[in-house]
Amino acid sequence: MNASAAAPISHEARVATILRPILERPSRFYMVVLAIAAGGLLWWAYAWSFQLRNGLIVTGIADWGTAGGVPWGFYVGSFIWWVGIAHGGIIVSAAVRLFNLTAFKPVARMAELLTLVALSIAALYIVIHLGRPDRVFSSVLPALPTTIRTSPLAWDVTVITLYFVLTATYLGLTLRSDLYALQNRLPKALAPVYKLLLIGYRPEDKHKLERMAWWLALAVIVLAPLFLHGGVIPWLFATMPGQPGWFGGAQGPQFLTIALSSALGSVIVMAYVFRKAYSWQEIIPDEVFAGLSRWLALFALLFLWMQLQQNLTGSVAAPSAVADLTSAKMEEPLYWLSLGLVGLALAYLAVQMIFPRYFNVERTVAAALLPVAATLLEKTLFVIEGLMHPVFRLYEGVPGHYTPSWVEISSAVGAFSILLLFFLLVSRIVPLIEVEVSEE
Amino acid sequence: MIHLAVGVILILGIVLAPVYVMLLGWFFGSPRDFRLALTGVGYLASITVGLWAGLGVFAALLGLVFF
Repeated sequence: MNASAAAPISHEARVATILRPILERPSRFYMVVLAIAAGGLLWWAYAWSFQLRNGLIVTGIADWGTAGGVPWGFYVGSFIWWVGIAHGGIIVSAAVRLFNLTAFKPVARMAELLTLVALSIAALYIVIHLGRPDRVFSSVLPALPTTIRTSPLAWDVTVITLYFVLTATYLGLTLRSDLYALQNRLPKALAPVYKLLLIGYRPEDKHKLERMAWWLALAVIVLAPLFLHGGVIPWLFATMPGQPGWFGGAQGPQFLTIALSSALGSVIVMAYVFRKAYSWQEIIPDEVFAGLSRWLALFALLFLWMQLQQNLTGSVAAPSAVADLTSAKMEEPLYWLSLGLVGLALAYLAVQMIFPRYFNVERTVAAALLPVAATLLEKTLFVIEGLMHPVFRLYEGVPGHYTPSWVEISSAVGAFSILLLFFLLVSRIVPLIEVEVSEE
Repeated sequence: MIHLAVGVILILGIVLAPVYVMLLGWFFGSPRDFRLALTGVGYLASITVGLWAGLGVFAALLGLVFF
């Protein structure tokens, strides 16, 4: 491990370093990134408005019937991917609190914020995919009491709402003690914001609130992996017997391995970006990256292991529909690219674990990016291939094809712009690292 | 009949179980403080309402502009 390892610094210096993004004037680089993100968002707003004016016909999504092609594509693949990214945040944070993984404390709050914004983007993808956003209120919500009895889509709406609410509450509980402790050092211009966030806060409740956050972390660490990304999200697909690429109990664990790989990768990348931007080498030392990368290697291994399970059972003596689907997947170069990227990341991280002297933060971050990109590819292919190769032959006369249109690709630009804007703005309002916790 | 109710059992019975445990912990765990536990429930309720109300306003605005 190379030695930007943290030399101990005083509490005062630590707090000053943590508050740097809030108290210092924004750098030129910050303003440039802000302008790029705002431009990206505006571009996507234009693309979405084009879709709203002309309908979903401007996407590559077809009706699966007379027009051929598939009715789900990049939007649904991106939805799954962003929910997966959202996992990393709150699970890292909950694990820190429940299992006392102190090494990861410095990235816990950033990770919670990542959960909130990634979940919001995921939900936005469903709104976009509906075509008319008002359908959420004219059909989805009114029908929910009935559809929740049988519809995995209704389960998704319910559990994603729950997950967002739990994460926001968790963040609220843990953030307030920091804001109270630091209120005299925070910018006066933002005093009304802090006052609002501190309504009803009593410093003597701090330890009770900490205990409430512990119970919340306990709920989240069961709910998020087992019932959200290993539950309602895969159940959207796994309960469909007409799609051999989707159906079956293996989807739960498979989705979970994919989500955890992308989530850990994202947390590593995000932690590095902030460390670099604010010179936080003392606050987020190399050990954090080494520890996170070991977990990423494990999840990448499980990712590939689950793919092996599915491909083996789909190739040896599978029912004809499953064999067709598996064969089509095997012939898709992008699928192999996706597995190759994860394999490459795993190989590098494994070498680094076996020979720690080769550890390097920048290379670790580069390796972490690979599963993040690979999972977006894999999830989009999963959605499309599942629809392209159904059990029944009803639409064989109009096979069609699917390619994401510029409108759909623009949504990715918009989503990353939202992510950037969120962190650029939030980093100037609240401390991105728990000051109180780091004090202890 | 069992098929019709699968979602209700799944969501209310299984998926929400960790949340029930959390609420029991808030209200009856140690240190016990009903006022704070109720504040926590208030957080959950107000964030839920805020989230859906915000989406409602957003959807209504889009409806006004585009449809």
